Amino acid sequence: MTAEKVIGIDLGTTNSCVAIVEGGTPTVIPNRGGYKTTPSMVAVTEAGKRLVGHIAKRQAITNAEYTVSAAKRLIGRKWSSPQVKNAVSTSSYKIVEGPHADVRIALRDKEYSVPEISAMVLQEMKVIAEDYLGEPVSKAVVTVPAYFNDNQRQATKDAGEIAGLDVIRIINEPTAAALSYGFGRNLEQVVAVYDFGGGTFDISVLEIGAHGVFKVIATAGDTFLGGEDVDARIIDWLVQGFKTEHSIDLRQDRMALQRLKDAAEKAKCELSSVRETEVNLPFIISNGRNEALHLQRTLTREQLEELSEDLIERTVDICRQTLLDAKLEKDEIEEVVLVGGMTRMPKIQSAVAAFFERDPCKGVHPDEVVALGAGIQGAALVDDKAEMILLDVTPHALGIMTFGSYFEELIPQNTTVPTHRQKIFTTSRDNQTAVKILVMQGENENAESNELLGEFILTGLKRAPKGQVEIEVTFEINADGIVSVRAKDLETSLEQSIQVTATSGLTQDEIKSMIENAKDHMVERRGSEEFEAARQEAEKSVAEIERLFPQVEQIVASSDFGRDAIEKTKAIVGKTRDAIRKQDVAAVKEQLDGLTRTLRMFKGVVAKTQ
Amino acid sequence: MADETKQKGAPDPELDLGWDLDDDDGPTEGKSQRPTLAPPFDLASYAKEAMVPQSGGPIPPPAAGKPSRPPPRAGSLPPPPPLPNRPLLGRRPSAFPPRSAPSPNTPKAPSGPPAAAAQAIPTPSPPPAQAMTPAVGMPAVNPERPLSEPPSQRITPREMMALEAARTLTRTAESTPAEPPPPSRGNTLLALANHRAPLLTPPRVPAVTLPSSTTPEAAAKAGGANVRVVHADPVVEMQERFALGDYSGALVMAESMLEENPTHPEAREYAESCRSVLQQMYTARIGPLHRVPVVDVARDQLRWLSIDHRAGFILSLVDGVSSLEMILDVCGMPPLDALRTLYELVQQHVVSIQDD
Repeated sequence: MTAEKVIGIDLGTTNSCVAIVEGGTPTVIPNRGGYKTTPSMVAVTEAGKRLVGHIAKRQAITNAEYTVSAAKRLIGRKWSSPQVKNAVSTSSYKIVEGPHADVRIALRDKEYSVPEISAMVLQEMKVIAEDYLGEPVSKAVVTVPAYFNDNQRQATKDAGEIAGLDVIRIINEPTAAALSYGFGRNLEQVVAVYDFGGGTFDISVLEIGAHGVFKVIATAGDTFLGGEDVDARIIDWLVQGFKTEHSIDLRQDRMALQRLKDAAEKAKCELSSVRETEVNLPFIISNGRNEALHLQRTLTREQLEELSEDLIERTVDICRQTLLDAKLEKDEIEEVVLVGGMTRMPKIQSAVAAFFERDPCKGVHPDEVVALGAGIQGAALVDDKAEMILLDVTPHALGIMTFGSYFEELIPQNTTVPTHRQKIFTTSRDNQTAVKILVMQGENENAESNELLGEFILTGLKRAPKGQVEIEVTFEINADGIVSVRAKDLETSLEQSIQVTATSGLTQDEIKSMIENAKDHMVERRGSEEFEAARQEAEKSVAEIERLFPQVEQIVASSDFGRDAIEKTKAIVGKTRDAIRKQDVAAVKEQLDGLTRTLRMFKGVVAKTQ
Repeated sequence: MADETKQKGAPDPELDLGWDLDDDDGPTEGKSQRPTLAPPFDLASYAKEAMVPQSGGPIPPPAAGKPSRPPPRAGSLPPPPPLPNRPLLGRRPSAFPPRSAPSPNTPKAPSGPPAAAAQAIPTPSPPPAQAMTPAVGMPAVNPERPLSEPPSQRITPREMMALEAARTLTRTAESTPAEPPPPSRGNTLLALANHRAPLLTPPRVPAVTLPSSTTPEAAAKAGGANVRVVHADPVVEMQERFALGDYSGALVMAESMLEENPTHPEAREYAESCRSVLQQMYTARIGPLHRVPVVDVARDQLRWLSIDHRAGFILSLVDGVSSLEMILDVCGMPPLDALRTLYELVQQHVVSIQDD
């Protein structure tokens, strides 16, 4: 009996990728268009049609208000968070406050939660895998950035659940990349994963231990720095040039801007392999005299490097800071793994090589490596014989708030899980009979700047002067990342505890309802695909019959049999058209056999007379 | 190749009028040599036929003061002849909604008084008789049928009204015979099986009374039996155009009214209905939307085409992989505009559509 197939999904900010291990070999699954990555974009058209992936990307500017991109930046965040505020002011789509102080996205006449939007992308990846494998898929390993907090991880899990996937493990993206890099090589190395994707930049330092143990030593990044910024620079350059030449601002026209965006991305990609490329956009806009104008400019690699120089420098600065935080020297990094499409840019490769003083590894595919790692982990989780142990670390420090709103850290950032730590605290006032324990996550000394995970109150303390009552606080994180906090009065042994369950901001009822909606959509989609396939087949046959009809009619109309056949043909074609009009897939399918027989007969009649 | 493309892009009234349905008044000699997506057919008559009750016969005149309401779609519509064998017949809608400023090659619609305007209307030559050879099994077309003028896509609603007034006067003076009824369809399989009838939802509008001075009866007395009356009231004009199957004209009127009053209920409903019918007409002409269009012009020759930036945008979406439906989904343009543009590109041989 073969083990159940588990897919690995790299749910990216701008692109997603799905992989699976087949016969021991990790493989990326291409989508229907043959692309190995799918844009993480969701749109709703004016007609209410939902678009996901490439098709959503192609209309992202012309339908900007109803196209969601980079939903990952919002997932698991609270409405009040600065990142959300930033997104509200910069996003083309409408972001609104949800009922639980969470984030919702308004598309046409409906508001969607962020996990729901991510679920649409995950569902697309699931369909891609199912189409490829020819069987249903229900289990997945999904990757997230190493800095994601528990709520963001939980929200990603919820998204998987809504999409009909059982997310059996959430793993960090750099870990997945390192896993793929070290797969089958039994390495023991300290590696840096430089991940410059479409929307975000991350740098992580990992230790690959013996027997496939992977440990994240440090991670940092910038969630608003990616390939799209480079595209924007190219667009600026093109727009400025056109404005100088024609005094027309192309940004004012959405169709022109959509074409510019596509052309900029294409030019950027081309310049990774050629030294110059031509941006040719005929009929980009019309002038006041209703004459169509064309945009034609040549962009060289040197110009692109100049345009994106500061962006590249920013990534290097983050790398520098990360090594400082991790107290690591450059020479301790034994390998640099490049991840993300932007790392194909020669200038980036040289900047990384210059900073780390070593050539980066070119043995992995930057777009696929994370998904492949997730696929590898997925296969290992269902394979009893697999030896691989994946150690993950806490992405952020955990602690409690103390008197004066200070943050007291109990579990430092990057601590390997599972783990547990204890610390003793005292009361801050005389005759204090209760203490409030606020469990927080973050690195800031000011507790209020960190993420509140939960709170509870320990009562029944003995009345005593401040500082005399001792309370032991214990933090425990299990292998699934669930945090338990216990506070115990050491004198009375009274204790209270809390299990911090991460929340995506959705209630169970909401999740259930979203699962149902997603299922309905899936049924509708499959049904529509089935009808479309049947319709195309039927219409093709009908067209062929219609083409041959006059000829056949002329030949056979003189006999009773012939007239009968003609009548039957008319009836079949009529019924087929009727079924197509009513969109009755079963009825269309019912007619297919008759159509095939009729067509065969028609062809036979025509062939005999020739 | 370069010359050929340039020829396509050169000033050519047929191509320049591409936005307008009226430019399809029979293939010219040059046109007939070119491969086309499907033999041309008349949209207006197509729509008329689709609206005729099953018993056949001419379109009943709209009840006084009421919009012409097409019959309910399912079951009651007669199946129109199928697209590929449709004969070239029937009256064409007179104009399209204004889209952009007129090109130098486009005949300018008259804006002066009706009489003067009538003289300014260019009269196209009738298409060569051989171009009207009916398809197998289909009835012949009357080559004597008067053709409507090739109006510009850039005609404004006001110019449209003046044009129509001029046309009416001209017709009155010449006592143009009534348009022949659509020829009866042959008893073919195609006629029986086609179900591409427009899914028209008639607008629900309150009754409107025609001004006494412009009632059809009065006009008929003055100028003959087949007089088309120009109404002072744009609502009435719109309704009449709609009733006569001139959906483009009705849409022009409706959009003109909406420009002045965006909440005008009748105009909104008529505009919606007209768009719906026109959209279905274009869908019928362009064929199944699952097919994939491809660009037939070399990339370096594209700039010599005579198209506008909207067509250029649609053209940029034609990648040889995306189906017509996908292009309509992603273009972000109103479906009618997008369909019309795609159809235009096909007619201009810039794009062809791959068969299954």
